[in-house]
Amino acid sequence: MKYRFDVRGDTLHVNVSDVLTFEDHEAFNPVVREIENGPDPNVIMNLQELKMVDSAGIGLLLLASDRAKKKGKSLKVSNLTGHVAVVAELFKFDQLVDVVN
Amino acid sequence: MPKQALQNLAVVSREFQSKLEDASILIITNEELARDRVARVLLNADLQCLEFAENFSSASIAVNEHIPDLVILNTDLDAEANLEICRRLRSLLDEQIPIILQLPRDDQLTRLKAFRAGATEIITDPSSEGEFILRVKRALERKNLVNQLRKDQSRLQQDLQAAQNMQSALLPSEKNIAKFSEARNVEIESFYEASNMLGGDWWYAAAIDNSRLGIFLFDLSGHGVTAAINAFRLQLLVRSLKEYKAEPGLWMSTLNNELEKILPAEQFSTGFYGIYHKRKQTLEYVNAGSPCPFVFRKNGKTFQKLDSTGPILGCVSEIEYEAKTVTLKSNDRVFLYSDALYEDFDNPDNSLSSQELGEQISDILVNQKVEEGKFVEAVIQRMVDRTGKSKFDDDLTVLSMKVLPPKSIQEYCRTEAVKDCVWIASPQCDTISEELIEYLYGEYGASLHLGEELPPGSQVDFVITDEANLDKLQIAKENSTEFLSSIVIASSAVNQDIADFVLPETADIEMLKTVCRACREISQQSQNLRQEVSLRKSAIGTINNGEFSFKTLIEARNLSTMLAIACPNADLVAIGLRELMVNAVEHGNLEITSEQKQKLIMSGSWKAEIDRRLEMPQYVNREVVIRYARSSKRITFTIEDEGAGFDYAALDQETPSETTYRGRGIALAKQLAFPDIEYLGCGNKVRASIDL
Repeated sequence: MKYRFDVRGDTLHVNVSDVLTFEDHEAFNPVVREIENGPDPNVIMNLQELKMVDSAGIGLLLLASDRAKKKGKSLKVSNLTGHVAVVAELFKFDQLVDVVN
Repeated sequence: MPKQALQNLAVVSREFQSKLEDASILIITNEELARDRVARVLLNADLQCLEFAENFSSASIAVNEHIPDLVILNTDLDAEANLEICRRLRSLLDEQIPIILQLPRDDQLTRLKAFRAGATEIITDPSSEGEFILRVKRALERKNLVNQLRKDQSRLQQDLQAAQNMQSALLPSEKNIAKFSEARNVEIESFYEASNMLGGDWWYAAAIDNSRLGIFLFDLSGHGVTAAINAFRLQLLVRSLKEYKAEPGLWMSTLNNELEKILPAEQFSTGFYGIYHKRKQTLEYVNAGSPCPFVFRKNGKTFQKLDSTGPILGCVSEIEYEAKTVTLKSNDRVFLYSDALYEDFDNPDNSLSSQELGEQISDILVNQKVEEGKFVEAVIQRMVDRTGKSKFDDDLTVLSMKVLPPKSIQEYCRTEAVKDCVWIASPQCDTISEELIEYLYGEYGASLHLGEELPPGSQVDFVITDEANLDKLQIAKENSTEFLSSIVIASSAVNQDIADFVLPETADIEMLKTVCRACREISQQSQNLRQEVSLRKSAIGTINNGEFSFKTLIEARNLSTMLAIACPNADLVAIGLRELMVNAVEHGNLEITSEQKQKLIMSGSWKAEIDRRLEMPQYVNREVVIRYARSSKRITFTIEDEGAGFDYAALDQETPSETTYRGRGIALAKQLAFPDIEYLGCGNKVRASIDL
């Protein structure tokens, strides 16, 4: 998994790419920390370049959403494509977090 | 570093220190001076367990007798000769035992050769005593660390193995699968493999009732120990959620609420719960994010996907899960699986969509000749062949349930001995409909036998026959277990006491089912009572006289097991005693006649009527008193109720009387436990004795 932060206005854009799996737990920590501790009240997780996600990867996205919520921030997940979109549909992800495409 | 971690390190360090002092060191040298010098240096460093050898030959003898913790090789032979000794020694010793080789000169080629020959450390002369000791101690410490690591690894492996066995034990056993499948006329195949010993997949099957079978499949997020612990927690929840089990939507919503309370934000489970209804041939299901299950129809030529009906479990509470229903036909297959079956994380483009997976499986069903019971195996083999990987990326569960064509009546006719046989001895009787036979098959599965002949060696538990085949009752009795229940379908002219239940030819299916259930309950209660007695221990055997009172049937049951323990053949006495005590409550205190009882059982309201009467003002204060007296020769029970009694003079002492139920109870008590039963007073008091 790779990630890139990009702040536009009061929104933190997190671009996640490659694959997001069980092995990425440690690597994802800085993302969660930035969402929790950064100054921006809005977060958009852009998954445009994410090719594949497993159940643990979905867990990490849920964790990010939970931490944002606890800090009173708005978190949206955007641009779900390919395998990620299929998993999101299967899991009814849109009933758990804000999904925008 | 946290304080506790520092303390732990200090403990480990002290342990190693003490282990170093105990380390046995083999010193190979042919020089007396060198030997004394090495020994002195080691002794000064508190390394005291020293052994000596002069050459390879004596060293190999020493090694055979006792494996050293470290070897020091220091001879005045040339380098090549030392290397040869080192090579031969290494072949005798485990690779973790360090060999320290002292060489006269330092050249790179010799060092390389020495390491290849198995040396762990090389010391070239001249070297200081301090360096020498440091190297010896470091080598010993490394060896101890490796040892410790191996031990820890072995212990962890054992723990994981034990946990893996525990996890496997949570899956339905083959015996249970066969039982569920047989009775519901389906064929279930399953496969489960954790990706790393422990896994987060779990599947389960449970009978909802006679005709319905529940199938569950869950996949906890992640894998390994965390997922496995969550799987353990989940199965406890699933087994405890009895409410709404017949309503998958409500049931899944309840489970979701419970999981949401215990799972952290990043953990969740997918879940599928389907109820197969044999009689209606439907599958009512709810799918909380499970990879879309399939129904393969027309022998695999077409398939239907059972899409998610709600989100994954444990993330958000108060979600209403929608249940859907699909109809199934003979030879249709329901196919469930976890995502490892089609996902390939090493090569994402190689993953299959659900449509592609369905087509692959369809191809197996249509074009591949698969042996019976090997379908799931064939699917897994197809996936292994496709990816070229024998190990799946994640935990894998695959389940297939095939609906079998309805059995013809002839298939219930057994030719081999049937244990605990439920025997329909008059298959031609019109009252015994196919629906009743199907119902009994659902209840008893392979124990059901239909036919006028009883296979030799069978043991009959329960017999149903008609007026034209009354002789079958006798055959059943002669080949019965201890608790034979019987139903006769007959015209009203037949003597009512020939069987436990005599039902009219016009009896409808619901009445027949109710009476069959009652027969089963009677038999199960008796068997449970026997088991309970065998488990109990009591001091009652040391009491000579006692008086006890009770009001309800549950109290009668509990008291009967307690008192029976004082008697020989306690399990049979418990049943006999219970019959007499139940008579005292039902027919004595609550004044239910035998005819009333039969009607109550047939309408399924017997228990409710007992409870109702126990609350009625005229009965609420009535008690039964049982007196127990023990002498050196006999034990006597006297049971007295507060009812009006009955005409015991009319009671035939050998066979059950016209008063069917009371008579049946007394006859059973006599037959099983009490050769001597006597009625006293107006019939509200009975005395039963056993000779010691």
